[in-house]
Amino acid sequence: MPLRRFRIGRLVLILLLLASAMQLVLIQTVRAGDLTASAEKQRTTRITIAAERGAITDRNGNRLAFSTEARALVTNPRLISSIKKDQAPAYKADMAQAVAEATGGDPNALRGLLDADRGYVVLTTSADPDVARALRERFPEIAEEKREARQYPAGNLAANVIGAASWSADNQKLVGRVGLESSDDGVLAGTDGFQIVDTAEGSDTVIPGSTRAQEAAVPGSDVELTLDSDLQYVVQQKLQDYVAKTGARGGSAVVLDAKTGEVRAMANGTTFDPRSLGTADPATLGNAAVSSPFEPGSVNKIVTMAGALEYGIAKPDDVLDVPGSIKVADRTVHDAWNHGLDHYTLTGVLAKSSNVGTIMTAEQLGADRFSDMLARFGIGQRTNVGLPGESAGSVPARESWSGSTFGNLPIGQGLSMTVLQMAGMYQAVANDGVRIPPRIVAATIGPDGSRTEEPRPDPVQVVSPQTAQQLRTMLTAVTQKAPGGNSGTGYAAQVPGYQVAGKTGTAQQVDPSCGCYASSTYWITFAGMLPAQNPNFVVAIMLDAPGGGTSAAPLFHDIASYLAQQERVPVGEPAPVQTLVVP
Amino acid sequence: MSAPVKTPTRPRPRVSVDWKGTEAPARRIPAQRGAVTIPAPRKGSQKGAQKAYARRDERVRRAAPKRAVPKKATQVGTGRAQFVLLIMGLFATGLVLTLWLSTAAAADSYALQQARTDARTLTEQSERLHREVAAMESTPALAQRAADLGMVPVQDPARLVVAPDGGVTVVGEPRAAVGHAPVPAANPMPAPDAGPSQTAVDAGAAQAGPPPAAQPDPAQAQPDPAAQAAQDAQTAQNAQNAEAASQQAQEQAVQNPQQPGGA
Repeated sequence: MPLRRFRIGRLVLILLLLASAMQLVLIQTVRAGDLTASAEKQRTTRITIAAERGAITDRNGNRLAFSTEARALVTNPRLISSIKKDQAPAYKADMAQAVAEATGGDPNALRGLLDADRGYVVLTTSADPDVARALRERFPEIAEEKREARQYPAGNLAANVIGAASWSADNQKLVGRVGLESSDDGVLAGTDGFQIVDTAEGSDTVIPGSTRAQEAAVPGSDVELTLDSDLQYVVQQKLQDYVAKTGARGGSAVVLDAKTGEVRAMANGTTFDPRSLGTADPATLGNAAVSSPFEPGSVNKIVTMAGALEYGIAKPDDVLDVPGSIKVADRTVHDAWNHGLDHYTLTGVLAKSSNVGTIMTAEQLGADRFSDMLARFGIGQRTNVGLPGESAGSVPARESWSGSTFGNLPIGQGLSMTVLQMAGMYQAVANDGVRIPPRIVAATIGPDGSRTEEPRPDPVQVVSPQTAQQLRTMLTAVTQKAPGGNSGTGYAAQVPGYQVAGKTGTAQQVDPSCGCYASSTYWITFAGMLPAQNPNFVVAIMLDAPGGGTSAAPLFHDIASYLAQQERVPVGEPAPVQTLVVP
Repeated sequence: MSAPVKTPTRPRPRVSVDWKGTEAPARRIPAQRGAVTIPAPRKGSQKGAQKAYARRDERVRRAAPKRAVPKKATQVGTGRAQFVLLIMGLFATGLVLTLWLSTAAAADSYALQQARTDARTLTEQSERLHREVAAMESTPALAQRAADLGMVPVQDPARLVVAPDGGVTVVGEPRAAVGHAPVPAANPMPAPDAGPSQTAVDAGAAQAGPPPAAQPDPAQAQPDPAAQAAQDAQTAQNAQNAEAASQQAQEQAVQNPQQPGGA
């Protein structure tokens, strides 16, 4: 009997052993893959290591945009209500007050958020880490979310150039929204790293020593601009004041380094504060200085003059018999003032901005050479300055020119350019005929501190140095004030102690209702350089539909006067008076 | 079936026990014993031989343990004690070491925790300070603070050009900078009592300025000394922190430029 029981026991044991052996084989081989995968899924966590976004600095290393670590504070009002029951309102008021004090928010707005019957509210998006920690310790219902905050210490300074970046909940990182922040996002953003670790189930606690793979984040590169903060501030202030004063719809101004074509300042009549991108008017976010072409008006007359001097068609002191109007194909072009047959020197034609005299000269130059000269000045081509949304402007193709086209283009109507292109034209004249397409990004500085200069664009020889020199002298006549009808159109641009070369422009805007040129709205322009004979700076200004009789020359004066002081430009001889009108 | 299985197994442990401790001779002894004890009943006829065998057996039995056992006991005794002591020593050392290491690790982990907290606090502090510095040194902030101090940007300054021969030419027209910002008191610290006497003299000088300015002709020449006097008054006040006098002189400083302008 005991023997039998023993045998049965042994049999049962053997069967059990076989069963467990079979199960073991099943688990270890057949289901091994599945089980491993689900186990890993349960405890393996991929932690993203955020890469810090690069900064944007000006030419002197002043930081215009940079990133800091921040915390978003979130909470669940519904949960607070259910936990605190009767004390909930008092507790929420207390919380709203504390959060407002710590983060500088509006207590009433926070109170409103907390009183809402919602499961998730964001109390603030940019609390400092220590502030967030203190609040979380005081109110355990508040949770932190790690964020990167973008700082714009200079506010709206160069905001239209720099643009703005803001937090993207989808990507869990800062993303450029407008301007350079958007177009250079790839350079600034860097590459996120990651860490694959095991975590305790249901929490973020990393099990020590469980790191499987790790890749450090590569911070984004810094972008150094050619802008000068101080100059940018002054140009921006003066332009915005002037736009407001003249009642213009808008305006743009660009300051270029005459020798290198670097953009030292670029301002628009309207701007925004990148610190509050959400509330900014979308119309103010663009950068009209590169994206909005306009008809330049008389500033375009230097193309004709450059051609005439370059091809030896006329000399500055050649006298032209200029009637009050000229017929080009089917239309008649008048001068801006009524006159009979007058005798102007070529300088006088430019300085007094005679349309008739210019068209007479252009006709001598010929359409082909004029068209070629326009292209050499960079009109109708993008400058590739490095900013998003750049417009090339428009120049009608040579084949499509009608008879009257050539009556329009020399006086700056029927073609369009951006303020930057306009500045580029005058930069060529300032730089002895060599046009260097403007650039706004000076260099990128990698996370290791290595500096990569932006490639310099190829210079374009527009005219000979002699022609450029003659043109500069002619342009100083524009700003001369002399008796006997020998004053130029832009003497308000004069800066005492310096010779100023420049050109005024007025172009009729197109009335969209009739598709014709409007008689009351104008683009008022001015482009010039200082000092005239060895220019350091080129300034181009455009005002969009200011009040009647407005000139941009006084604004040029203000900017040029600041430049002369700030950059310590040596005082020069006064410009000799040139003869504009011959009796 | 169970009984035969058990019998052969019983002597084996006994054999193996002797076997382990003894050398080659000891191995023979159980074989002899076995040979003596088991076949004994069969050889009952020869008593002499039996006795001899028994005596020899007895001798061997006495001799063998005498020689082997005491020797073995002392050797093993000292060796084992040393070994046990060694192990105990090792255990004790290990225990102390483990305790010490874990205590040190715990203490270090607190220090590490503290250091990490400090580092984090300092990083946050540094970041905040950097941010504040960036905000304070940004151009608009500087411009604002300059304006708050009553500074105004100068437009078209006159310049002095010094010729190689030492002659000086004034380029441009010297003019006072025009500002729209009200000028706050340069030094708003409370004034000591001794202050006003000195400034009153200067302020008096400034006050003496305006009457001639009312006459049309000298008005053109007047502004400079008058403004100078007012300026002197202000410098003196700054030095002495006379608040009342400062206000008075400021009014004059504002009035003085107006009078020539009106004339």
